[in-house]
Amino acid sequence: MKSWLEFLRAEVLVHLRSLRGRVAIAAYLAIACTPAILAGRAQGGDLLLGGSTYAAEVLTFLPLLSAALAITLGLDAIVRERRSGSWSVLTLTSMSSAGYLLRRWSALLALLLPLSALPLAVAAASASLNGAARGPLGNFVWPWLLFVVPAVVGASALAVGAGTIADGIVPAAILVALLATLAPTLVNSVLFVTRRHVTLDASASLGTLAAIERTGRYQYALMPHPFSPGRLALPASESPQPPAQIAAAAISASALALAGCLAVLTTSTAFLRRSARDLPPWKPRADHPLRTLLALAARLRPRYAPDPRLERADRLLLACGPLLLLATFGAFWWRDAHYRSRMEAEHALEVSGWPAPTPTAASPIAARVALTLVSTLASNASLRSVGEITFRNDGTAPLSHLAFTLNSAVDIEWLHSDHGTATVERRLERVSVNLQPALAPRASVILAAELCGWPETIDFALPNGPRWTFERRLRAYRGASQSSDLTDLARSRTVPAASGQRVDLGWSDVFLLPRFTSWHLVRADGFAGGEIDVLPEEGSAPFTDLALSSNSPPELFVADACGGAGRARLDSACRMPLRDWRLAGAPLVPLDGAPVVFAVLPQHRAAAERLADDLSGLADLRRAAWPALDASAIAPVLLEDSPPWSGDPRQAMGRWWDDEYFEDVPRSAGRLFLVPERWVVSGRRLPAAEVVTDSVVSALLGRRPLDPHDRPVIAGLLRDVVKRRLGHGPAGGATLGGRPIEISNYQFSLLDSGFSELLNWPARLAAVTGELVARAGDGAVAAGFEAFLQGSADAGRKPGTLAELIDAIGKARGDDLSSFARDAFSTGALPELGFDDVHSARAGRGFVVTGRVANHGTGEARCPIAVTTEGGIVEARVIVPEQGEARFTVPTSAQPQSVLLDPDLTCFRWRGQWVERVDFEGFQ
Amino acid sequence: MSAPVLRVRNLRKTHSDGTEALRGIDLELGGGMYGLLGPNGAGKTTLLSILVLALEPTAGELLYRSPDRDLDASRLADRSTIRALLGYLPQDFRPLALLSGREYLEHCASLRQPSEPRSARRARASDLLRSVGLEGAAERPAGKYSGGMMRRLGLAQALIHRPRLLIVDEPTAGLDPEERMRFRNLVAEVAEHTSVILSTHIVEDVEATCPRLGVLWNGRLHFDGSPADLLRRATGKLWRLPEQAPLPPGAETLGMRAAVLGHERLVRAEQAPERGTAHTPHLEDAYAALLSELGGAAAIHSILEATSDASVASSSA
Repeated sequence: MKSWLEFLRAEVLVHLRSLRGRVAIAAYLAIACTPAILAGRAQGGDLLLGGSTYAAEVLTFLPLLSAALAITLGLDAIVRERRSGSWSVLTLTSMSSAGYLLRRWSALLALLLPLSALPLAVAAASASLNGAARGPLGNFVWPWLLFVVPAVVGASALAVGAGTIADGIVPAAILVALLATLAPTLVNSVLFVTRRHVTLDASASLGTLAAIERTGRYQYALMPHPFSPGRLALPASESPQPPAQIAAAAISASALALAGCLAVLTTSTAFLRRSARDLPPWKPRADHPLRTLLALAARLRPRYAPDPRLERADRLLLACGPLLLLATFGAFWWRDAHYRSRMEAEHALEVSGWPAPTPTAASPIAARVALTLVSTLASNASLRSVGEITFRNDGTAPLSHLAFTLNSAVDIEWLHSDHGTATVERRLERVSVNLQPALAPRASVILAAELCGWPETIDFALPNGPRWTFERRLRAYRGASQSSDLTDLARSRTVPAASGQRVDLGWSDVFLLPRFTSWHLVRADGFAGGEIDVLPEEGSAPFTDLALSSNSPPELFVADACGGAGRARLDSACRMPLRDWRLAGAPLVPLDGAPVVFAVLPQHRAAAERLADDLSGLADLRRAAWPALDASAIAPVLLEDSPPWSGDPRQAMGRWWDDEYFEDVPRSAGRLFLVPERWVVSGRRLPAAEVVTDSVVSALLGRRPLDPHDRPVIAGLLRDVVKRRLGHGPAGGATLGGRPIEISNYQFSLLDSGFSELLNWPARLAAVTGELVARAGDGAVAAGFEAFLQGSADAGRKPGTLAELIDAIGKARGDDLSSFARDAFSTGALPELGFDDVHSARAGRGFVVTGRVANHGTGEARCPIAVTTEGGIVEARVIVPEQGEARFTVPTSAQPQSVLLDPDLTCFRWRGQWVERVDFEGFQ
Repeated sequence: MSAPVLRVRNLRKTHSDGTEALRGIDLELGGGMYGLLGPNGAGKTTLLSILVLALEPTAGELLYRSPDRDLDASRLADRSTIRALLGYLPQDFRPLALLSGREYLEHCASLRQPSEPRSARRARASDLLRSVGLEGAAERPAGKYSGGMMRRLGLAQALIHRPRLLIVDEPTAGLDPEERMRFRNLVAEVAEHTSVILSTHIVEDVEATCPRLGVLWNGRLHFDGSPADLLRRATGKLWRLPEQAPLPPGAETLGMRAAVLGHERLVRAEQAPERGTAHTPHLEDAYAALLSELGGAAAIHSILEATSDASVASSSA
């Protein structure tokens, strides 16, 4: 220890006195601290930054900069000693080569590590000076510990090792370059035989691309730019970061590279060359064609020959390198094998289609669960749930089989049935329960169970592409024709559904979720014309009376889709599809005095208080949205939602990299609304209309089961109706428009759309809703919905259909809307109208405007036309058949000025290049 | 001779390019100072590198005597102990330039005697700085020292751990006469209680300090004895000859000297040459005569070069 301290003292003195060292350290500190200063300049205005943002800005560059500094100082330290001539004296010390190298390296580390922490200290100071909320200490410490420290350790080991072996800066640089490029290629070429791939990309581990990207953003931020304003600081999450998950990601991303660097260091023990080897003479033949090269090699040979007299400690350290590499590689192999077998098992299960789904006749009429969440690790939480689910056989045949989805990491401790015997069979997340004897029609069965586990999902590190499913990704992996096409499966990761930082649980994470849709893969359109096999999502969502009582760690504030919210204890009950239920939470605090529950991170209390007006407005909006609903029954619960840990090392810094993140809308489930953290800090208004719309729609749809096929359209229709009531209809009213060539993008059936129509589906539905409301009137539409959703009492449990809804609205209006519904929903009809041959003439004491409206599109159109006169507006209505025309004659008492087609955009149609306005002479 | 600290038997070294640097050296060293003379390329540095374990010999035995037992350099377990016995001042010694003289010595002390308390190491460094006359420059960066100061610091670092055998390689090359004399005296003081091997091609240094010397030529130790023995070997074989006088057969010119009337040649010949005057040899003459005997013109050329090095150093001072 004493000699180590002397090493450290000498190391510090040498570097601080050397011009090279001083310049390198000063440049490092200046560059590394700059982001913290810039973040201070970004503070204020609408953006309320927290301390974590300052840390994140600095941490973007810190691994890369620290590695560069470590390499600079490490090489400088070794080469200076060799070149200065002091080495021959140092070789005479009685300590072993291993002892010398390790002392030397660790002394360098002891200098570098505090230096690498200094920019974070500056970030904390800058945050404090600029009044930023103090972020969790872990957001400074963990990324530093798990990304910066390994970078420094690896880079310094590589520099000292390569410097020792190569005995000079240029040869060391060549050696490092060879190791960085050839070694990964070679390793992966060999591994490809076993269809494996390792990631040895040091550049990615150091976040090189992220640093370059951020530098580009600074350029935008510092120089006024008309298109991309840029930001001097991108707000980072103040949510505490999960250390175990960061560690897992960091280890899987850089453990092999780090072990490689350490192996270079340990190997260099043999190349410290305190004793020069006695090499037998080696003289190339005078007539050898490569004699010049061989002579050069012979001359260099003594310089690079390993030390022949390694002591026991040296040999021990020398062996440590390969052992470490072997152990790390073993860990890689084990992780790869683990995820590989899991992946194969999941795929086998996916293609098997096992088991048969629960028959739709089995109605889950009630479910109650007592849930206990235990946060035993900062990054993970276990749960134990005891509950029961009641099924009633609404069919006509006996029911003997039920199928469920259950998080594969949650075990079934026991499962009993109150009706004979329930036999459970399970494969991963699929559970099959066979009832013996079978359940008779109209009879009920209660399945009670106790479950426990650590709910999580696995994110396989497979090749990815746009809209690729698991099956498609696996196909790409299996079909890899060269090493670079493979991915490093060992970098797969598990994402906990509940932790001390974040809880996001669905029903299948806490209890048995009935599965009504077949598990057989279906062929679907992929991106760019390809076909992919898709595992169908659960399409049936019967409503269930559910009750939940949960206990959770006191630091967590949790809320569920039923509207229950609380710290430590939560009791809630509601009627909703189990599929849509969620429980979310985090270390949040509810805002005092808010009209609805709004819980935020403590650091964001001030930022959230800026939204008080939005929260107050929620109650008024609820009344306006659907007066018939009890406001308290649909009161939303809002939780601030932090971004989940994605496993991307860049996100160790908790960064929101893309500006698009700022555009994300809140997620909702029932009455639970998850407001993105970025909304709160960036001063955006709460999406009150969205929140109210979702809570109203959720409450209304809970009244009656819907036909799975029609459900998306019915729910969308209801959502658009409510949004229009709140003044948030589309600017285009009921019309769609664009370049003529784009009309085909909107000509599809809303009820039977595919992947390619997903993008324009909401726009067409909104336009259709516009005409429906315009044609039937808002009152009739609301009355129609009320009558339709009330239908369950009259029609038993028969799921509601779209045709039934349209019929109800038509009845409320006293009109037949069936042809409109056929055109708008079932076919891809889209009328395209234009005036033709329009004239105005005097007729007796008044005037008459005549003309034609031609339909160049598809489907029947019923649109208003308006004639403006000196005395006011005269309206008329035309019905234009598909590919036909309608003549109109509008008498006016005053002189006509112009005639307009659908001036209020209430008619469902495409606005193309056709004439929609005619101005009469003298009035243009 | 006191108890030997070093015993070398049939030491051989052939470099990887085939050069035979040492062709079987036998040597036994006790206390006091041993001068190792030899022209450039004779194998001195190779021998010293092997003695300090920086180079592996091709063959031979190298034994050191610790207070309690013999240590074999070929045994891995003994090498650490051997290193602790040795102090070494290499020919091209340079300290860590950015440390002060004192810091450098303390750093060396921590490397060589890690278990010693820091206060003791500091005291030892101060003592040595005083001994080598660097007390006044102790806080100056060692990189700014003059050549002589650097050598003295080198001597101090070689002595920092109280070695039993001090090996000094060409310590006075390039130094001015005053600094050379000062350094010689320092080494001589050290030799009073430590065995010292002084490797040099400057005969004057050996003459002034070493009771025993060896002459290395072409990888072999051709002479091992006292300076008086070397002088005796040359007595009666050296003659002064006027510059224009013919050189008799078998005689070799060892050098030119200034005489009262012009120049005269110093020649080695078994018989007195015509017009030759008997020359009473100095050690340098005896050394030159020996080399001439061993290697003829090549050896003479080497020694002339070495002599001119020393002369240049003297005149520039």
